[in-house]
Amino acid sequence: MQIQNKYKLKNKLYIFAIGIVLSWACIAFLIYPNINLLITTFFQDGGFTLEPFEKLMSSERAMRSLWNSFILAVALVITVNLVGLFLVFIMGYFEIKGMKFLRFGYYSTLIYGGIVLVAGYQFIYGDVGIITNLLLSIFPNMNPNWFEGFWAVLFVMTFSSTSNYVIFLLNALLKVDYQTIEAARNMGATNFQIIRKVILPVLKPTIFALTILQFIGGLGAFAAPQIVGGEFKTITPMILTFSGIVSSRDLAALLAIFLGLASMILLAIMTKVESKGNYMSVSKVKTNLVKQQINNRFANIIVHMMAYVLFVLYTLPVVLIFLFSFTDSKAITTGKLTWDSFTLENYMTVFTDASAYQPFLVSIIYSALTAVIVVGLILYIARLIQKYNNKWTAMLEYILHIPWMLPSVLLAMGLIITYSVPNTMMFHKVLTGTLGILLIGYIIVQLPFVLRMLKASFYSIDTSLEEAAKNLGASNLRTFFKVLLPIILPSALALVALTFNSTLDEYNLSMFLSHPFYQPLGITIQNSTSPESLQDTRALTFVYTVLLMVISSIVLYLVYGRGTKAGK
Amino acid sequence: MKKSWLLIVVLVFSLVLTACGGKQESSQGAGKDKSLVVYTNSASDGRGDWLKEKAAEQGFDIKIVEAGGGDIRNKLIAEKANPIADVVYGLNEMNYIALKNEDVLEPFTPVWANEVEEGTSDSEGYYHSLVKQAILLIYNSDLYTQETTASDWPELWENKAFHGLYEVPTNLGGDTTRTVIASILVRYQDPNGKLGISDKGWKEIKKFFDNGTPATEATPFYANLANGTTPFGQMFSSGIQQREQEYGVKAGIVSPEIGVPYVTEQIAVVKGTKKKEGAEEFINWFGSAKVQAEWAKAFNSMPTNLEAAKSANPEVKTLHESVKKQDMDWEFITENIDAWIEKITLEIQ
Amino acid sequence: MIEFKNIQIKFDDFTAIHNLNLEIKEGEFFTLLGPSGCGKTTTLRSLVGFIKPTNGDILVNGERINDIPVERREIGMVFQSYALFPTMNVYENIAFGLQVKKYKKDEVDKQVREIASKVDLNEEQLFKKVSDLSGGQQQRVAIARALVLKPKILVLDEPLSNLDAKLRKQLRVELKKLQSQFGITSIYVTHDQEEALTMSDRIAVFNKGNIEQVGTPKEIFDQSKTEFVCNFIGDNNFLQPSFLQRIKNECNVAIDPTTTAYIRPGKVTTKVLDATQYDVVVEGEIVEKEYHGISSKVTYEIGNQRIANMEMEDHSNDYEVGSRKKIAFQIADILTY
Ligand SMILES: Nc1ncnc2c1ncn2[C@@H]1O[C@H](COP(=O)(O)OP(=O)(O)O)[C@@H](O)[C@H]1O
Ligand SMILES: [Mg+2]
Repeated sequence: MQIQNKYKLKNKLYIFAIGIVLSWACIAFLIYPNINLLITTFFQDGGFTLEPFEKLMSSERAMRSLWNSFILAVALVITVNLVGLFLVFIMGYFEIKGMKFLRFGYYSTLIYGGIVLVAGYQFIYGDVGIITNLLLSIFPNMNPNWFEGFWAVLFVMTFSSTSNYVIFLLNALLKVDYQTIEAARNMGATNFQIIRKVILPVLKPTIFALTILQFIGGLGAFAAPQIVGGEFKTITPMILTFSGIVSSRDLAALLAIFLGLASMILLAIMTKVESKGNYMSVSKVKTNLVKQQINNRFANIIVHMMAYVLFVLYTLPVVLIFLFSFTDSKAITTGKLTWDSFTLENYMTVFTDASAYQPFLVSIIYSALTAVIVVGLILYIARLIQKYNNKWTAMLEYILHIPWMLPSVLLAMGLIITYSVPNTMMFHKVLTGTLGILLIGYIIVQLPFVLRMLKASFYSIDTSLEEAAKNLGASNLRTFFKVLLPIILPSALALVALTFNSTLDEYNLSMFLSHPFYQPLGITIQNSTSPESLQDTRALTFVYTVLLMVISSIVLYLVYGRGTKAGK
Repeated sequence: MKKSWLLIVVLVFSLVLTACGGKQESSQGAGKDKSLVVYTNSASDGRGDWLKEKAAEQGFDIKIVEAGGGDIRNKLIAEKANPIADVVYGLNEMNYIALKNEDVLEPFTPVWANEVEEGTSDSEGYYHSLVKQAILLIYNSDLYTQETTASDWPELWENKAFHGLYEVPTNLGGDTTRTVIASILVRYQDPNGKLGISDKGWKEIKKFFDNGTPATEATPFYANLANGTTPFGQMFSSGIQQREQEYGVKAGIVSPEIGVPYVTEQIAVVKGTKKKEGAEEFINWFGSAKVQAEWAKAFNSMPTNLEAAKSANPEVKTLHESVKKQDMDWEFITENIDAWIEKITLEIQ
Repeated sequence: MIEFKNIQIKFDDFTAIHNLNLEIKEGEFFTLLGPSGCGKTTTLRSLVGFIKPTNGDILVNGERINDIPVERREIGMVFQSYALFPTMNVYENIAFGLQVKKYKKDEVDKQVREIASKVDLNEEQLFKKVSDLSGGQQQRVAIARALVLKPKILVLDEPLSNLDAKLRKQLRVELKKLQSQFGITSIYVTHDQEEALTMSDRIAVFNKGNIEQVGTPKEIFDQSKTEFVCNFIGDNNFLQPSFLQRIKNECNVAIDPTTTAYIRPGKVTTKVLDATQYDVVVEGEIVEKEYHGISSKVTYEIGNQRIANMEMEDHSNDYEVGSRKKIAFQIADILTY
């Protein structure tokens, strides 16, 4: 009896301590700074005013940008689903010649993203780009600035978002029980009917979740509209502009709230649909998917052609960036190559000049720390949520979604405004000007995505495994590390890789929070793509981009490449 | 097998960490008082390296942090409680007024304070002027002559022949851009107007944006000036020479009757610095007539230090003599510029 | 009705089926039996059309079907996992094939309900999620789904293998009942010999891609053609050469002591009323008794030869371990290879 009480007390103390620490962290990093920001912006002169609201409502441009953001989000949902589904089916379902090789192309946007990717596309399709030059030599009268505006933004964003989409959907596709497909064929269903009636319904929940993520991504689009948008303006660049003007921050905050509300509504829908738990697989023994031949010759040719065209579209930027990273700045600005253009100088500079390679090291360290900490933390929290399914953990989950509802610029501003002066919440430690604040920022923005993904993996574990371990006398800790973690590990590692890669070239947070001495790569790259930059820094950008791709590829290989091999 | 690569990751990680840690130490170790952090918007085109090198000869170990004027200002304000910078130079007076109001600056009178043009520094000694800069409307002189060019900003939108031929800024955060906008708006100062500007003024600035070609992230203005896409646009005076060489195009300078806006770039000590003495010593050195003269020669600037101004490059001197200074109410501008930019962003651009 | 002629099936350079020749008659319940990995599924799938034989012909009603696509073969299939569509309810699952064939809506409805009542699925179950059904109900849905298309042939690939023992026995009966009710030619795949023996009209025993024996359950059991079949099906007593030598000498039977010989437990009797009726009568000592409820497995030792026998627990066999008894069998029941 006494022993039991002792355990009970110990357990209670532990939960109490965890509760305190988590509450503090949630309030200090996720709630208080944002509320503080809202208060300081909306109650500037002592009283609350609706003035910023009126300003925005009467601003044609702000309303148009908002409208554009929504249009972009909707369009993106359509294009990403079309391209993404096509890719998923040719990668996982149909027999396509050369797919082993093609799929690397389709995954290429996993190894670079954000500003780097858009700059790469701009470099190829922009007014002095290779493709533009090529097209101009055929159609001399065409507009060299053809790659600008809505369609350009949509094009770039479609390609940059599909790789992620494909990863998750392909995973879902591979979980389809092949016997159901054969059963349908046996009953006379055509390929098309099988896809529509048997496979798509199974994929539907995943498609739905990914669609909502796309929508939120489209709403918050930054790099693409900024660089190739031209007249097509969206909301996030505007938020960025206003957040740079102290007196206009209320507008930035308000615009962000618009976006936040939209995201919140969508997330609520998503959670609702998810909780309905669409269906449960009934297969106890599942057979693996076997690739299908497309029987119609004509369709087969068309599909192959589309597959290869997409491959070219995906790989062209990568190949050209790689190529041009070895050329002098003249070749880069004019987009014209000669044999003399090639040089190793750019690489020499990056590897020998400390100021050139430092951003790289800084970004790698920050990203690695972010990835490991976020995934580690969320592993713990997701487990907590799964184990103690009560109103506190439900609240914790909602709070951890806050970063999805606010643009990162706003999160950064909240941190700055709140912790640029000694604050009790942070034990009077000033965070601005420290190295830690950027890490905190990076971690915060990654929380929701990692949480969603890890939670899903935890819930997919057969509960009897845990019970079996406990029954055999394993402690909680042991059960977690020896039984649960090994099952979760592939997902966790994949998330480490994705988090790492997406943090590498982060710009928005970095701009606000980075320590001036240790500027991460995103800043360096953005600076060198700005029109004022001297030309040789543009060449360096290409080297950075190539190196980024190499690192990201290595990370992905370590996680996925080996994973698939082990799977076979 | 699985553990082996984890091990590699950890190894690489710790290696990188120690490498960086090592560097950090060495940069902090040298010359305690004279290692300074300098924030500026004016380190491009080789200015930063030049300054580092020359300062090193005097025993200073300078670390330069460069960003746009507005960003530097916001950064300094954000870091107020825990400042990293010791010295800030190069921003224009508008920014320094804001910094002073935010209590970011430390008053200090450099030894050369009396040598500079009167009225260009802060009367309370919070900041002191280094160089003056004319913010110009320039044109491609291969395509236009003194006779055929627009004679002032308004002509660009009043005369249909120039529509679409001048670049208008898309990012309104830069100091040069803000000065150009201010120089147009102050012509329509009206105490009863919106934000102190008459309706006509707002109409004019709208026409300015409507009839110009927006700047793109992709191509620098000078490239467009050279290839004739937009042969007109804004430029700060000290940037002209170097770009002329780089792009091989000679810029013509428009000299409107009303004059051109002049901004003065300042220097100041950041409040809360732990190296106050070093910072002051640096300012005494950098603002001195001798150094400013060298700086002027190297970077085509126009010092406000009267002694140094004499050794400015002849072309620069001629340039500055050829244009008249526009009379602008800077207090009024500083007070309103942010609101103007906001209004333009929301309603006009 | 169905004929496999010289069928060879290769996966790359691995030959799963070597040279298969088999004939299945109209209305027959035919079972492919064999250990896991011997090629049963492969054979079945080649009939359904998921696999193309690398050699040989498959004939249905005398017509070669090698090149006819799956959906035109009119062969219904019940999968091992049932392969019910998890996103559809029971009704939709059954209706799927009819909809694919573009039947009219009311026709679909009529047929679905008709087949559902035949397999004992009621109205309420029809609109349940398939994941809410029990294993047995799922199986009936799978069968209904296959039968609603009125196939000429029904094939079932280990449909009972992932059910518990009791349910398996129960469903065995139901399945057989359904089959005879519909009278449809059925091919049934299993690795469970008991299942095969109880349900089938005829059985083909597979081993490593070859057929070892085709026959009725009784033929397969009583006259196992090969040592493999003999061992794979039912219990066995291996008869040692020394024992064979002994009975040859003592009982004066014509047997070659060097052959491999077995005798099945059921073929031995201990109730020897008239010793002259049996070819072999020897005395043994009871060394082990394994109680099975209705019967017991009693092991006798004759010298160094052990022979097990199944004996009813009807009090006619209440002997203790250690007692001695006469045991007898016929020479014709010895299986020699
Ligand atoms: N698609 C395939 N590719 C290669 N080998 C296969 C394939 N399908 C089956 N096999 C092999 O053929 C043999 C027979 O398999 P199968 O017919 O499934 O056996 P079972 O009798 O258990 O149903 C096995 O050795 C199996 O490994
Ligand atoms: Mg099988």
